[in-house]
Amino acid sequence: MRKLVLVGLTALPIGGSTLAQGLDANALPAPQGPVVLAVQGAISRFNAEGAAMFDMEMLKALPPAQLDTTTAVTDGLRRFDGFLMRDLLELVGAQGDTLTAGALNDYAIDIRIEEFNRFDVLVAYAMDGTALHPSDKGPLWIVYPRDQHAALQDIRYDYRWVWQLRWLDIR
Amino acid sequence: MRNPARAVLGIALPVAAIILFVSLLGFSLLRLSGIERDMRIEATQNMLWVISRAHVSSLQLGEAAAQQATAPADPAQLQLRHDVFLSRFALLADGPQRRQMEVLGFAGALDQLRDRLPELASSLARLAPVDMVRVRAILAPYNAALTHAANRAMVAEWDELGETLDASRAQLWQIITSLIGISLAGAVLCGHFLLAIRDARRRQRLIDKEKALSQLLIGSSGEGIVAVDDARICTLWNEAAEQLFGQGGNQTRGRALADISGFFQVDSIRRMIDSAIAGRPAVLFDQPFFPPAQAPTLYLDLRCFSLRDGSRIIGAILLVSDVTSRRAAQKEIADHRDRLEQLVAARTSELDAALTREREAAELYRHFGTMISHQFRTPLALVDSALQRLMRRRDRLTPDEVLERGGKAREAIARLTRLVDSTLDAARLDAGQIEVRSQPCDLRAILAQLCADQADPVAGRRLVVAGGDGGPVIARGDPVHVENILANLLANALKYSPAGTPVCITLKGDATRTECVITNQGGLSGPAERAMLFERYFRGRNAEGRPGIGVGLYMARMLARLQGGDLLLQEAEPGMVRLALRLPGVGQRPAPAEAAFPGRRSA
Repeated sequence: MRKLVLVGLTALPIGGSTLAQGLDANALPAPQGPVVLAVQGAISRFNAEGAAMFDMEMLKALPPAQLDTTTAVTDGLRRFDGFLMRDLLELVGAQGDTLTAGALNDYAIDIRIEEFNRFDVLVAYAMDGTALHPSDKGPLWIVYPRDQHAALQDIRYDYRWVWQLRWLDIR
Repeated sequence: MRNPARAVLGIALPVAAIILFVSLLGFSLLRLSGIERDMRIEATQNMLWVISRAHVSSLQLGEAAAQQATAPADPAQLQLRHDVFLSRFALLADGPQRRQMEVLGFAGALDQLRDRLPELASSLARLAPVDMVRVRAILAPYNAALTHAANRAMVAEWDELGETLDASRAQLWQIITSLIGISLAGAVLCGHFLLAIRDARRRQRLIDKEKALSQLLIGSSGEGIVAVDDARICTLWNEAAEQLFGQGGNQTRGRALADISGFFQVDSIRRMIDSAIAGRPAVLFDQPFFPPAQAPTLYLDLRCFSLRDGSRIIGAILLVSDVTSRRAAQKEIADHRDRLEQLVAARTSELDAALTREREAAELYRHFGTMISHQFRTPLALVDSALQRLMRRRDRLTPDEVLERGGKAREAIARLTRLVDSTLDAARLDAGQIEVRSQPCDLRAILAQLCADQADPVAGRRLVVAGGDGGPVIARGDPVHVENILANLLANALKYSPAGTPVCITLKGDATRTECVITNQGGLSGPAERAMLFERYFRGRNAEGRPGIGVGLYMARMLARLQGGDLLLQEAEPGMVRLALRLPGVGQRPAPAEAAFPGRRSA
């Protein structure tokens, strides 16, 4: 018990400053529509208790990005529209070095954040101009620039292509 | 046979080893790249996982539906399970996964399910008990098919993995075999290179030995040996060159040849070295070299050749030999030969002169003999006949007759005495016992006296003196001898010309020369007689029957020459004889007496 109190005491001023930031410039606007993505863990900007919640409108407000590539699970060249993962991480003020990406079916994969700086990794919300649907691979799909970097044509990258992305946990 | 075999081993073996090495290496790389390619695992090979996730999502949907049917709670949860189920189905029923399912033989099950998806959606929306039965009826064959599909997928994946491993193993074996081959080829190459290195070392040792030998030869050569590169920088300077030029090899090597000695700046030597560097060997003999330390001049023979490296000329080599002593010896031999030649010539001319004198003497005695036989016999015969008459007619002779006969005999004896005197005079002349006292003397006066003294008045009238202005003609000479000469010439002219014909005497002269020309009729028969005219004891054909011993003209010429003048037989009209006496004028210094005897040598 004593130990917990100590932790709580030392954590107080930090919590206070975080709260203060959240109240002004660092606070994210609250989602207006249905939440499609939740970011939690070591982030500095919030709009919920310990998390940043996003509806599709908020995500589409991020700088749009486009990528043409083949995938391991579909035929032919596909065009993806979305935003860069690193833009999202910057938006939430992510401070860790690893994130866990979780899907609707509870699929969870650890990815090193450094990868998003090395490659233009996309979080796609549309394929070939059509919005991704939750009954297929939507609403969000992590897409690697597979055709642009031969190193990414590897099964160890293929499993990071998380579709039906639902949440991110940054550590 | 050994050499061709070695050549084949030396060239074909390493070439074959290199070809083998390269081709095996290429083959290994090809095989390795094949393995590298095969080592990629495609996502479609992950069918077992895809099928299992679809199966799980199907089971979860069934469970969620059953729970919703019995105790309705969160409809979003059912919707989520439905979405996930549809998503997994879509993945399985599309693209590469669909093809894989066809291969596994479960395309039919997927198609059946796709046909009933709208029915499933509507059943999930209502979820009455009858709908639950329908949901189970739709999902049950799908679940069963997925169970079998997972089974087959596992077998197929393992089979494929096994085959890939087999192929990789086979390729690895090929690579291992290739590597063994590569190692063998490498070993052969290494062996060859080791042999080549050993050969190279052996050759290097041979070359070193030869180099040492040539250095020994160069060092011990008596000839100076100097080598230069194409920039005329000295690269070699042997001991003999050190002694010749008085400069050590350490001071000369690396320096320009022209800086080492002025000798190499001489035009001809510079040109010779240039010529050798241009590829034409050159030779120079007897080049003088002046050593620096006041030593005597040396004479050098030089030979210069090109130094080549293959076809390229890299410099020149100069061989210098000291020929000073040889040259001196040759000169001595030449001098000796010249002296011998001079000696032989001198002896020859002495012998020639001796022979000539002998011949002259023989000729002289022959003429003398002839003269004696003719000239002495007549007076002797006269004396004999006079004495015979006196003896035969001793009783009848009157004293006058005795006187007359005795007088004739005495006359003949006097003639004999004169002949002997003349002979003696000639001998004295030959022996150089005649004294000459040169002084000015008037030729005209002497001639006038001689004409006046003529005993025979008829003969005296025949003498005609002409020329000049009648004044004195002064010559330098001994008056006694001049008178003798002129008397002899006049007597000859009178004696050998027909009676009554004139003897013409012409005088002329100046300060340097005087001349008295005496011309009379009469002839000399032929050039032989003209040539012999001044010889002792020679008598012409017209002298037959006339007394004389043939020394008159000889003595006249000798006396004239003793006084620096001469007596010449001149060309005259046919039937005439012309003799000219030349004497120096008063302005002339007396000539040396020796000139009178051209045939005699003082030695």
